[in-house]
Amino acid sequence: MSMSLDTPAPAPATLRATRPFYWSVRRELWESRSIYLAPMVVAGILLVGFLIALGHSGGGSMHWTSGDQNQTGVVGHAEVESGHHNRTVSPAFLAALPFEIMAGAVAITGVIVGLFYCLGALFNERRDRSILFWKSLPVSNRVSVLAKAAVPMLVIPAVVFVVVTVAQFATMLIGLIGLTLHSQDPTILWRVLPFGEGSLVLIYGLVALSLWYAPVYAWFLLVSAWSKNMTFLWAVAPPLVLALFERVAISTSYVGGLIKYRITGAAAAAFRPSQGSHLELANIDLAGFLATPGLWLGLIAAALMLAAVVWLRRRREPI
Amino acid sequence: MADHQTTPVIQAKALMKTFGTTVALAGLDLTVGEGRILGLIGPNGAGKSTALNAILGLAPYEGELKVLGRDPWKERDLLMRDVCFIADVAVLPRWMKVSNAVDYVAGVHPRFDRAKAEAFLARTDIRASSKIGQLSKGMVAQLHLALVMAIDARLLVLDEPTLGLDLLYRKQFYDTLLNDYFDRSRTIIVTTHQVEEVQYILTDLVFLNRGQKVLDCSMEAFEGRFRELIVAPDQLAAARALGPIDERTGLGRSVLIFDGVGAEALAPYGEVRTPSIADLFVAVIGRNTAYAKSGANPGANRGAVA
Repeated sequence: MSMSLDTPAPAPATLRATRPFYWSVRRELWESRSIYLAPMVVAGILLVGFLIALGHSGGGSMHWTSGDQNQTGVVGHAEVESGHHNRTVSPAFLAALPFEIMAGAVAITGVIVGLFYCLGALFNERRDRSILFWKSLPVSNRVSVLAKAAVPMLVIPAVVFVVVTVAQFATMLIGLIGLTLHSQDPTILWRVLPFGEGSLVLIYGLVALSLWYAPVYAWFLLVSAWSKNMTFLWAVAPPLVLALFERVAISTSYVGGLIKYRITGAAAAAFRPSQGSHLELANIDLAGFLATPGLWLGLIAAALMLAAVVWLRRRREPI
Repeated sequence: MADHQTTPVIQAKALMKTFGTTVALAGLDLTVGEGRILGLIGPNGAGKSTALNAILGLAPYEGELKVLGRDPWKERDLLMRDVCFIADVAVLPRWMKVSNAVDYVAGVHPRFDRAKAEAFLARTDIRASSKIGQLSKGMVAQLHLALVMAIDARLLVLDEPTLGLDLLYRKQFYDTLLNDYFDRSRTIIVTTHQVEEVQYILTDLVFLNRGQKVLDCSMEAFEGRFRELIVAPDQLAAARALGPIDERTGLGRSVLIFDGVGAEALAPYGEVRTPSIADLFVAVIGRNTAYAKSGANPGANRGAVA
């Protein structure tokens, strides 16, 4: 049988130094398609939710949702925020609802996907023995590990940004259609939606989140490189047990506080408290973020753990 | 012999490796020249894989080891530009598509010839869109071989490459390797338990047992050195006096294996032929305790060398 492989230009005799890294990242995407599928699915579900919400508040002429009273929290939130409970489409409702919920939900999905990706990244290749294949190629352990670390820290945030942006455009289109159908002035959307500003805030937020969670990703990668089974348990249980032990033994909760700070502290470190319903450029606190010791300590811890991951990958054998 | 003078492809001196209290390699010396096909044969746990892992830079070791002039443990990623290995049939990732595997190797390997790999694959039933997990074991082996043969490498290491394959795939594997890949500028090391299938492609033979080399000879030397004598019962006592290294009986006749006893000396007692590697393996490894102590040339202290 004949092959029909798509043939790009033949490989040059010497490779640019970045090529192994580039292909190592691509290989991760082939293996873990949830990296981009999960954010897309979540965004898609939210879009459908917005459509339903729009139909709901838009009234009788839109029948997508008739009979469905059990709306998601999204609708409740929108109604509370907009203060409207009637049949007109409020611009405030449209403005407040989709942007931040969409961005927040997809970003959180990205973090969760990133954590689960990390747990499998070095474990799966040992379990299915494919590490012997990867190591038969001229790719150093450092490049392999950095490619794996780049997935939650660079690739997923980029995916989240693209998905959120596309979804926000779609949301806006839905809004435009809704407003037009209800004979309202659609240009009001331009005035209430912080488009360019929202994207900048999103980029800043994603970068901050990535840096803030770097030690968490690195810890999960370390567990993945080291553990022989039950990676999730090894990743989660030791910190919790340690926190519990501290609490019981010496009645303090430094470890617990540290864990809580790391998991929930990103927003407080990177943004000034928001007065209104959404984050604006004015809320960005770059100087404050860069002056947060927790950021730098976390990054140092992440670098040390990644070095340990490289060390382990060099030595660990198939399970 | 190699066409031109070069340093050995592999040079190991007093290679040691222990796992806890288990000694996997007990001071292995090994030299492999360019253009050789070495069979590394030994029972389970003899240290074959440990030796290969050291050569491939997959595990640390003690002792001296140079592969293509490099320290494999320190320079694995550079070394892998010139070295390929097939660990066994199951190491290609099952989730990967065939086309992805070709893309990836083309992406990271400077010596990979994509057209060559595709030409090899075109002769098989493997489709580019298939997932590796959907292929039969034999097809996965074909794919791996296609990837490896398209790499212009100097050393190919095969660790039980045909394990679990049926007879046809096994034969095809070695035929392809010999006809389409091997040339005098390449070197191959193969370990396998299916000794009889590699007997005719090898140029050199090393037996390993308990982390030590118990035999190291070229195949030319093998044919000059080892003889198998099929003796009728009435001649057995006289034949035994010549100092066989092994004796087995079958179908009422005895088969004696000699190391370094000339064919003329044996001919009067029965039929003389060259033993198979498998029979010699049983003879040597089966009597390993005595054999190993006398080093790689046991005939010398048996007083039986012709």
